[in-house]
Amino acid sequence: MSWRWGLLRRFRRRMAGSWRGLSDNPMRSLDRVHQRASVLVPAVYGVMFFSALNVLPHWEGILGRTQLQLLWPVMWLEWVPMREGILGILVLFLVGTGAAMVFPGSRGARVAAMLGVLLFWALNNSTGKIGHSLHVSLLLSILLVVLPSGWNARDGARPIKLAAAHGLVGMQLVMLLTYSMAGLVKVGAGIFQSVTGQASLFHADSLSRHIADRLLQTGSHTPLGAFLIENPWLGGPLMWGAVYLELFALWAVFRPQLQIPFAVGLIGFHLASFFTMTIIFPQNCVLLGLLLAIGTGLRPRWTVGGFLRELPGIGLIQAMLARPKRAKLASPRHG
Amino acid sequence: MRADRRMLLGVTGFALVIFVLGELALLRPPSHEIFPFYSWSMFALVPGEKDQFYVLVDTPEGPVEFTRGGPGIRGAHSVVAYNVIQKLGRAATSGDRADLDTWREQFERTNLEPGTRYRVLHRRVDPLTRWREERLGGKLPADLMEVWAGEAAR
Repeated sequence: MSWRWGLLRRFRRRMAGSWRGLSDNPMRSLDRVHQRASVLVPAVYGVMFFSALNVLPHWEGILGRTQLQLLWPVMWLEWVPMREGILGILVLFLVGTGAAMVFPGSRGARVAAMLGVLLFWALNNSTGKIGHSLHVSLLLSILLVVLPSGWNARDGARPIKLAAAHGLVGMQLVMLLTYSMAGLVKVGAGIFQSVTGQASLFHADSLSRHIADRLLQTGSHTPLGAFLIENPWLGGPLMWGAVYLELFALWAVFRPQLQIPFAVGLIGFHLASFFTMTIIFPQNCVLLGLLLAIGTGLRPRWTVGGFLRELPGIGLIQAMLARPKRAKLASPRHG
Repeated sequence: MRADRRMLLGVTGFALVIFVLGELALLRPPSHEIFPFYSWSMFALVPGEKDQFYVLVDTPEGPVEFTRGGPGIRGAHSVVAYNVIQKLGRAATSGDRADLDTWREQFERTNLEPGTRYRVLHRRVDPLTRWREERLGGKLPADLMEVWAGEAAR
């Protein structure tokens, strides 16, 4: 057992860089994070409920669907009357997420929300193309099912409050992991395309190509998209900046100085995707605000120096530049 | 085991599942997904020259490219329609009749008014080249090859 905790501790320390936590009373810190979790968990369900409300005007169209390539969670629709089955899914999505928002302490409500989101999203994606705007919400709803009973009681025992704190940090972890995975695949694909002599991420026109391809697919036109296609000198650096943010998003879970800048950066990235390619992930934007900008509340005073020190890669370069200086200073003493 | 340690293990285990299944999903083209675990490979490959399928719809004013919209066309700007057109085109060129019927039926039912006649055309093109052609007037070039012609059921 102990090797597992040791491994986790070492991983957390490595990811945390120079951040060693606030020199605060540990119980007061725990109470603060627990309080944040008690607010943010229902808020996250609120985001899912809002998505369910937005689907209401489209119920008639969704109920009329017949020829579908059903994904595995909704395979059972083949054996029941389609319209009634779909109606059940839509009702569960609405009621489950609403109930979990109002009664987040009830595991039954959280399971209903998870099933509602899973079934609705599987149904919505059974049309030949899988969209991903609700994937993070779905993953969060799966994670939140495992919160212990009574997790949100104000006078709960320390292990229960700690579990709620782990739940909140877990939500940050799950969300930012998806961004880091996106960054990792982009870098991997970039290396592959570079080696095989294709247009790649490392070319200045990579963003121009993405935007042109997407706008041609949908026959759309965006002024910002057209501008970036014609000016790859600007698009290239923006693309590399976005990939940096994505790739190192996971670090922000462990380095609180990074959380607000990364939340702002990633929301900016989503807005830029909309204004160039008409792609938007609205739920992700709100979740980034909730889970990173509000977050655990355990954050040191934000300073530019502290932020730069914690930036993955930049901090490393700083440390490498500082090392020879230190060595120079140290050498006369030893000499 | 204490509730907090159970939760910590649960969070770690779930994150590992998301990562491992997501990366394994890279081996499952074209969706790269083991629903709901996704590789997050969207916009990973920078598009170069590639096979593209276009739909030309017959309208009273003459043939119109599907994404431009017009009489008989539904969801011209839908990326789902774009994906269905690509699958329909690939099925037509590969000669897979069952696949062709599936995608043809979905495209006609969702994106065309009954009785609308259309043609699926193929071309290998670079997106930046196509973008510049569009800027120069948007006419479809001559090197398009017809791979399928059909009519939406009345």
